Amino acid sequence: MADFDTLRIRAGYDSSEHNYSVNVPIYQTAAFDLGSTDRADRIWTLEDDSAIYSRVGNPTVAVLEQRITQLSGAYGALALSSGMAAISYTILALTEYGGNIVAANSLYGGSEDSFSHFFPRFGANIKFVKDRFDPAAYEKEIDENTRGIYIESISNPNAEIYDIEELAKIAHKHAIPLIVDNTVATPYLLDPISYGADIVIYSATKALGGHGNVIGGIIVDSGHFRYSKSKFPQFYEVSYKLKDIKGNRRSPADVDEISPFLVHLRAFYLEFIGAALSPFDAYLILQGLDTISERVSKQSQNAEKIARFLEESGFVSWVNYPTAKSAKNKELAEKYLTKGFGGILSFGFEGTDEELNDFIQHLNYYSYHVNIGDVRSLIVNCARTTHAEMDASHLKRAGIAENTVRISAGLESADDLIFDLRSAFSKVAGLREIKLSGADLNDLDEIANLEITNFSAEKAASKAAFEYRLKNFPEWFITAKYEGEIIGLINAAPTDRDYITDDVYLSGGYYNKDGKSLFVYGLEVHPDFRHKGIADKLIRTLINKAKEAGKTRIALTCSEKLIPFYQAHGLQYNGISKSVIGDEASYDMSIDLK
Amino acid sequence: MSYKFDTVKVRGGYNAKEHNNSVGVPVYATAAFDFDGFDHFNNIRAGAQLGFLYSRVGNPTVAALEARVAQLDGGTAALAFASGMAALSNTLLAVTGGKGRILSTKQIYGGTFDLENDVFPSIGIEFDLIDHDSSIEEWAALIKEDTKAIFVESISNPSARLLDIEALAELAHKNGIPLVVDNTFATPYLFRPFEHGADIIIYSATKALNGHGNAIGGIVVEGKPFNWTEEKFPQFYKKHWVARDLDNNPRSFIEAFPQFPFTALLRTKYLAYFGASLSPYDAQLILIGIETLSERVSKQVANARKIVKYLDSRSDVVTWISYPEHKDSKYKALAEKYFPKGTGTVLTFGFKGNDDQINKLINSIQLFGFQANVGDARSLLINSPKTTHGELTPEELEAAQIKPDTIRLSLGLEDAEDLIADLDQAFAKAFEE
Repeated sequence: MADFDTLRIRAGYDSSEHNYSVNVPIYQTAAFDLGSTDRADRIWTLEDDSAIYSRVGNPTVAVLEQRITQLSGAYGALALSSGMAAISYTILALTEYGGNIVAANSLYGGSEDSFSHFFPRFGANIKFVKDRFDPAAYEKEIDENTRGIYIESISNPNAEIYDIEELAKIAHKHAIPLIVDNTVATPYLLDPISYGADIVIYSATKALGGHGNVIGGIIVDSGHFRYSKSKFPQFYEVSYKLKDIKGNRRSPADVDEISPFLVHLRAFYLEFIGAALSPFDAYLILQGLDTISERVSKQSQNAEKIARFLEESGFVSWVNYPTAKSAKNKELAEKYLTKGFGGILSFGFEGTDEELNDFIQHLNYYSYHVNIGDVRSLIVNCARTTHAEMDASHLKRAGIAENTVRISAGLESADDLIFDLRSAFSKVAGLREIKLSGADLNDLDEIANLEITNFSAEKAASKAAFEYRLKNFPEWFITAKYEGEIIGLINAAPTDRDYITDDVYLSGGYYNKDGKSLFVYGLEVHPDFRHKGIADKLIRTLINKAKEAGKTRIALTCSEKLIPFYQAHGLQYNGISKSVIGDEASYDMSIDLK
Repeated sequence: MSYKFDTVKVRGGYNAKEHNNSVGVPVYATAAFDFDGFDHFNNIRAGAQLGFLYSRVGNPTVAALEARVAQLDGGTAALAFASGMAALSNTLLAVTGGKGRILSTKQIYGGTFDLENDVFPSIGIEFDLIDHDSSIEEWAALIKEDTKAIFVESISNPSARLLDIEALAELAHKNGIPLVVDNTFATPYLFRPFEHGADIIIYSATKALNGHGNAIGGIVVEGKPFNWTEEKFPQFYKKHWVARDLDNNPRSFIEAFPQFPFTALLRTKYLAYFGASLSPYDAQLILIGIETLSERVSKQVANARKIVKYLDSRSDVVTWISYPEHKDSKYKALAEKYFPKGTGTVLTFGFKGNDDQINKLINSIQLFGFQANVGDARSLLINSPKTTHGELTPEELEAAQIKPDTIRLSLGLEDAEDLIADLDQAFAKAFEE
């Protein structure tokens, strides 16, 4: 058989069967012509494996299934409309008639919640082990109704590695399959079947597809496991649905003795619970697979560099990555993951919830959203997002600390990714020294001095103007102080106006204490304290304060180069302002508050 | 302001301003969505702010489809799935909460029938199947203490049988259970089940709703919320951590989403964990199809009527015709009451020929497609007992009153004269020596 890098581009596709199209065509059709009644009979009795109806089989989807089968050195595969469909179908199909699954006690949040609270409603019970690192702990939980052992090959979010080979031996000793969720590793980094795994599951949404543009899942059967009649009677029940060409009823095992599991899944679960993958999405995943090696290898390198930076930075309380100092099972990581350790790492953030929020806001090259394996780097605070389904006791059991932040490294430059983290940490650390407070007339001199430091004489507000504002609406001054000294300021006035003209700078006629809008005169930070996130903090604090006070709108004018800054804080760009103070054009920005 | 049906079908559920002024609904081919800070995430999660987290449980393209279909049916909310079977199975699982009985008929779609026989009983859901034409008293007699819903098709597949939906809704409500209606064959253009008392509507969007046979999909629509009692439906009252409010108090689906508790339960638990999500690309195809729903279905109904007339003239080869508007149909009165615009685009007839001649008929057809689908813009013909209803044993076929000589037609948008000429030549070839 060809090598991995050849298979991921070519396996499962013969262009001569598809009008010589070099790329896999998207068979965007619900049904397929049956041709003759003879052919229809053959298809219905599975003698001919042509597609009938795209819910249960489609040529584009079939290429994806074949390609993954070959990449996994497996017997067969089934593609589904999401990774959760792959997980739920596997668990339910194996545990029919009251079976249970023994599982690692730290899994992806969706798995955790569904295993604990949802699948048991349908008779599938999950027994979580006490110590996921100890193979003996799994064996201890196995009873006569156990129908499989379930682990993640690289766990999410803590990137832990377990002993697949040992667990396979234990499973096989008890005549049950080992099920491995290989989503984080992908077949590029790890081939679980070569270490004895029997069923491999993927969320294709993640690094397998790699572009974050599709939701999909895949179940792979090695073909090595023998499902016994006593433990898995569902695979030996005859059904009229699986009749042969003579009309005799057959069981899934009669149809395919090597993988009755896949026959059963396709004939009953996909057919009737209907989580069919769209052919368009199958195409997107195939396109992603073309570059899986380059992507995952670069992502692993980036993750490793980031992990090393974090460990050395002193900014974080701990780092989880297979090569990190504190990682358990390091020797296993080296045994199983010879090409890289995956794109996922997590660390403990040191600071308050608010600081964590600031930290995430300061990042430029990490998207804040719930996914992994994307070509773009992602960051997320797990305990409150991806693992938000879990209450405190579950989080503790899974070893997920409240302050866990997960990074999924993308394909950006590692230098940029590290620089971005460093500057965000520095801003948070710097901000700790900065205290926000209000202002009153005692602060007038300091404020006027700051204004002169920051603005040209033409644009600076006069001391008299500040005096007027501090007398009339001091509650709309927010100052940033370093060692008691004012080094940053935002000040605003309540008004009924929607937009600002120059007269507001010159007179007080616009001012109405009960006005629903706020006009921001200015936002400034002393030159020695810029690029530390102080301005972000000031505008954010003002927006929150305005919301609490029931204001409905904030408006301001700014120079062209500051438009992106205000947009990042949710303000809309409304075009060139009528204000002409100073020598450059200024622009109207505003935000509607709800 | 509420727009009329034909306006909603091209505009409902979509506001171009929220999508960079794009006239067509964009395909949001993305797995995840950025958060603008933790508050943003938390607001979306708690339902305090409209937004999207992850496409498995919600996507803007899919949301436009859901809103449009909900409006077409006059519902409060809708949820799209990867297939009609996913819509159906997830609905029945959620209604029963994993335990209980469903009352339905012996004459429903083959796949559904098999679900009832083979899949659901193994996870604790039992079915009571009644003969389609039973009296309302006979229906009532089959409702047991743990019956959780009545489930019917508004027009049955393949034989196009009708039911007295209003009477069934009244019966269901008297017993504190919802009426679930599969409205796939009718589409909201021909029939709007909520106006007749139904509580939940299910579609295979693969069929006439989309109409182009190019996407597999399903939709569940919730009407004005059914009165789910805590005693019968505890799943709506259990407090869930995932449905917690902004202050982290766990809430039940009834508390958190009083306007559409069923859709919320389906989305948060069943779509999230059984994962039968519709692709945004396929959602867009279905949205495009819906834009011509009225024009397509009315033309298809007109074609069906012409074909019925033609088949009537061929008593030499046609033994019976099952179409509710047909002069021999026992559903004529129901057709007039519930289906003023027509009774659908599917009809069946009995072909006077042996197995060999049926095969010859099918193999001689040139224009009709021979495939397992309905509602397509192209006309389709199939011998149901051996194909779409091939999961059924001969005994089950008899119970379902599907005769072995049944031929099903799904009428498309071709010229009716061409369709008649095709049947004409195939009938002739079937009897050639």
